Amino acid sequence: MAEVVLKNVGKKFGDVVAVDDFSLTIRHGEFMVFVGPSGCGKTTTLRMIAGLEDITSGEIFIDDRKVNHVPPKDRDIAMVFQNYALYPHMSVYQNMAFGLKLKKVPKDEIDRRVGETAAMLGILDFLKRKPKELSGGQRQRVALGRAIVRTPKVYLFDEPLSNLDAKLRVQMRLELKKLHEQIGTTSIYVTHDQIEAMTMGDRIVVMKDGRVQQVGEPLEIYMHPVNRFVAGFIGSPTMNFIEGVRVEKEGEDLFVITEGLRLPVAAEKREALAPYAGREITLGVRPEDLSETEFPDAPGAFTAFVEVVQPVGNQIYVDVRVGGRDLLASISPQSRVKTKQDILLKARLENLHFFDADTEEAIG
Amino acid sequence: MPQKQREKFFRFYLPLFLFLVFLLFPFYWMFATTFKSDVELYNLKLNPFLIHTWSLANLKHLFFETRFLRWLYNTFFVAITSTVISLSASLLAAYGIQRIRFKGSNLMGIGIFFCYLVPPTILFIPLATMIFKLHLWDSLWALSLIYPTFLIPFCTWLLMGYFNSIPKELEECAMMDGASRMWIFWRVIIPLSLPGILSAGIFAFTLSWNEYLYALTFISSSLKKTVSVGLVTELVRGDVYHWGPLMAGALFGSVPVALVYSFFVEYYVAGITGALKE
Ligand SMILES: Nc1ncnc2c1ncn2[C@@H]1O[C@H](COP(=O)(O)OP(=O)(O)O)[C@@H](O)[C@H]1O
Ligand SMILES: [Mg+2]
Repeated sequence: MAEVVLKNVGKKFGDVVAVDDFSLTIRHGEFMVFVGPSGCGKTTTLRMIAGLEDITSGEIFIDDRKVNHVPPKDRDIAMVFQNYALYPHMSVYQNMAFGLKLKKVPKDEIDRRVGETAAMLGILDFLKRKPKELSGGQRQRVALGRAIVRTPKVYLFDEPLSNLDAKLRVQMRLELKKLHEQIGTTSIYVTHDQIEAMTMGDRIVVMKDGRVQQVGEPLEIYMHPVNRFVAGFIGSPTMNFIEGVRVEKEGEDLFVITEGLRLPVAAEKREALAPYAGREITLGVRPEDLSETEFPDAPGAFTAFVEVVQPVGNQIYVDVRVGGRDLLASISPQSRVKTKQDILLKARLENLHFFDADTEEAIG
Repeated sequence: MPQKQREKFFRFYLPLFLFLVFLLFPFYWMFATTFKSDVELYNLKLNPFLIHTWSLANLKHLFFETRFLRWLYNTFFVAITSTVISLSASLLAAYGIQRIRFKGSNLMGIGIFFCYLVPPTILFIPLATMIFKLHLWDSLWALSLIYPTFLIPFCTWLLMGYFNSIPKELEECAMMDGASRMWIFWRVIIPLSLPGILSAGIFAFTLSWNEYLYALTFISSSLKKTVSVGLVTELVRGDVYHWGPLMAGALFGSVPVALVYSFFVEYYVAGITGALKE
C-alpha cells in the first residue's frame, strides 16, 4: 500500500499541453478513478506516475519518495494496459511469472503465487496456453493476474475493460471492485466511461483538456458538480441545460424564469443566486429530477409537450418540449404517458443546478 | 458451376501457368544444356528444347576441371559471414532508431537509407583503397566486410518496419517488471521478430550469394573466387563460351538459394507483410 502525491504536475508534447497543473493526493488503499473525454490527458498522467513518460513540470511522490527521475522498474508499480500487452510468445504461466523471475523469486514460490492468483481469477486451467488461444475476457484476466501476482505498491489501470463487450464489462467491473476490496492496494484507474467511474471509484477525478475539473466521491460529484462540464459529463442520461434563464426577485423569493417555465429557487441556493437577480444564467436539471405530477399548482410544476416516449424498463425516458426547448425527463414506469400530448411535470427544486452563463462555474 | 470454373481458369490458372513458364524457362534451359553433350548442343538440326542423349560430360568438366566446389564453399562462407554481421548490426541499429528515441534518431534512419542508394559502381573505388590498406586484398574477408555496406541499410529498414509493428506496451510492461533494455531486447523483441529477422536474413544471404561487381573487383586468385565470378571468368575464355559447364555451374549455384527460400517461405511472407498477428 502506498500514498501517491502529484504536485502541480504538467506535461507538454512539443507545443501540445497534455496535462496542466495536476495536483492530487491518492490515499493509502484508495481506488482512484481518472475520468474524462478522450484526449484529456488521463493516459499521460498515468504514464507519468508509472515513469514511462518524463514529467515536464511539477513533482510526483510515491510514499514520500520523490520519483521524478526514478526509472519505472524501481517504482514498484504494476500497470494493466488497454490492449493487455501480454507477451504473445509466452504461455499464461510465463506471462505471470515474468516479473517474479526478474526479481529472482525462488521457483517454488513463483509457482505458489502464480497458482494462487490464477485460482483467484479463475484462469488456473489456462496456465499452459498462449495468449492467442484465449478469449478477450480471459486475456484481460491474465493481464490482471500478471499485475496482481507481483504485489506492487500501486496498480495502474488504463481503460482495462474498454475492449470487452458490454456484458463482460459489467461483470469485470464488479470483479475488479471485489479484488480491490480483497487486496486493498492503492489503485489508479483510468476510464472515459462515467458509469465505470461512478461505480468503481472511492473517489473520482474529472478531467478536461489536461486540467483537473473536480475531485471527489462519486455521489458528491453527482450532487454538486463544480461546473457545467462536470455536470454534463457525470450522470446518465445527461443533464438538461437551459440557457438564457432569467433570475428574478419577487419580495423575499427568487425565481428562475424562461418561456414556459417559472421555477422558485430553493432556500439553500437563494443567497448564492441573489447577486444574479435581473441577469441570465444557465439552468441544469437532471432527467431523474423531473417527475410526473397531478398538481398544476405544486411548486416547480410546469406543462410540457411529449415528443418521444422511450421505456427502458425501470424508467421511461420522455423527450418533451417546453417553450421551444427540448428536455429529457426520466419518469416512473407506471406512467401512462403518450406522445403528442401535454404532460404535467415537476422539477425537484432542491436539486436544480445553476451555472454562470460566462464562466460556466456552478453557482451556490 | 462449369461457368465459374471456366472463368477461374481464364482469370487465374492460365495467367499463372504462362507466368510460371516464363519464369521457369531459363532454369529448364540451364538444366537441358547441362545434360547435353557438346555434339548435340551445337547440332542445329535437333530440337533444342529436348535432350536426345543424356551426358554427364559437362558436370565432369565443372566439378573436376574447374574449382567449382571451392567457389561454392567460398560463396557460402562470404554469404553467411556477411549475413551474420549485417543482421547483428541491423538488429541493434533498427531497435535503437525505432525504440530508443535519442536525439537525431530520425536523421540516423534517413542517413542509413541514403547509404543504400549509393550505387556500388561509385563506391568500389574508395572501398578498394580501404581494403588495400587493411591488407584484405584478394581475401574472402574483404567481401564479408564490404557486403554489409549495402546489406545493413537494407536489413535495418526492413527490421525497423517490423519492430514498429510490435506494441510499445509490451516493452513498457517488461520495463515496469524490472527488465533491462538488453533483457527486453533478447527475451521479448528478438523472439517476436523472428519472422522479420528471417526474411532480412534470407534477403541478405541471397544478395551476397549473387553479388558480382565487388567479388570481381576485390578477388583475383582462382582459389578465392565466388561462384558468380568464377563461372564467368573461368568458363568464358575470350569469346569462347563453354556453355555446357557454364550452365551446369549456374544450375548448381542456384540450388542453395532455392533451398533456403523453400525452407523459410512461410516466415518470409510473414516477415515481409510485417505485423504481429495475435
Ligand atoms: N506521445 C505523444 N506525442 C504527442 N502528443 C501526445 C502524445 N501522447 C499523448 N499526446 C497528446 O496529449 C493529449 C492527451 O492524451 P492522452 O493522455 O492519451 O489522453 P486520454 O488518455 O485522456 O485519452 C492528447 O491531445 C494527445 O494527442
Ligand atoms: Mg487514454
